[in-house]
Amino acid sequence: MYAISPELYRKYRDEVLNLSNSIQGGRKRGLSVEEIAMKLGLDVRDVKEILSIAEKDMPFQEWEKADRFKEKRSD
Amino acid sequence: MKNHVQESSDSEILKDRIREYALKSGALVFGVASPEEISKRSPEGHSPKDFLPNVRSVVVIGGGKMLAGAMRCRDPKWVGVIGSQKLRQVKEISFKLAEYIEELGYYAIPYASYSLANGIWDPDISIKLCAELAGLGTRSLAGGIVLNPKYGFLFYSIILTSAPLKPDEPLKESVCPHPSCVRMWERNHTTPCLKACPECLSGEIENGRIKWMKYNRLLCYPKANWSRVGFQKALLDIINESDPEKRKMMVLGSRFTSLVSALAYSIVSAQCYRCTSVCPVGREFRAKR
Repeated sequence: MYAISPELYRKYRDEVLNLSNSIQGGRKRGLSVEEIAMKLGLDVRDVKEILSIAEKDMPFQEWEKADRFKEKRSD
Repeated sequence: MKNHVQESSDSEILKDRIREYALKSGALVFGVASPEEISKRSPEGHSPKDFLPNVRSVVVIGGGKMLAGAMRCRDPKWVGVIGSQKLRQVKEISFKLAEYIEELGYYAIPYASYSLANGIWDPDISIKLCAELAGLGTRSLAGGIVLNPKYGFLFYSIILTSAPLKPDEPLKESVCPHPSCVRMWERNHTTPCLKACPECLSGEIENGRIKWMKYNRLLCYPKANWSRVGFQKALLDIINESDPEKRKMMVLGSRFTSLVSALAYSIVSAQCYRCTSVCPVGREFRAKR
């Protein structure tokens, strides 16, 4: 199974996220994986991997916190 | 000239037939977007012609209006499950409609890729863009969700087709912000959706219009915690746990059991729907006795 190197991931994580659709707003759309790869001089496959990992790369507690957040809707 | 008039009239008849079938099948709204207009606004590789070379129209349907009861349900998991089911219903209608268009003699392909089929949240074609161009709604402060002026939040699906259908026009007026949200903004500098989810959403209204908005999907994402993504996160924690006894507690415990059940029952998402449940657009459909 293909996996990118942790070094490559750490180096480009923030940049890839900022360029992507992960944070949306304004009139400018986020870049596609291909566009990000072109801009950063990376392989499309690597950008895709970075994006896939980065969007979930937070402590599991964040997922658990969501339960409490959702419960508040019934307040 | 005569041929042109004939073609135009045939195209309208065809569009009416397709619309009628879509609505009869359960869609609540129907529109057509021009593939050229979509292409102009899309990155390379994300245009309708990249998937169907002889595409002439993009049919957009919206439906799956959330049950009013679901929006008031006190258990968020129920809401997540109902939302998943509603999305599935709209997808099913789009598949049926594609079959119907092919029966009429044209190529048709429903957008079959669920958001994560590529492993990332990077859609092949932006359904939001198609819905906007087809005149079905406009983007909102609530995470850029396309709000329909009549129903508010809906799920959308698209069908690429070689059928020549006259495209609809985008709406002239923005659906969001609703007048009551403008009044709330003037009083309190917030809106129902921004107040409901200050973590994921931010924005500002100026002169009755959205001045800017920001949706942080990274913060919204973990709220779909009863899902395959939650499963991936938990699995990683379990694998990394070195104590076998503790690992056993984790695998057999309630959290992991609920995540496994999400996979078993195809719960593709368990979003909180907080921002949409407080949105005043389409409120009349959520008011029951």
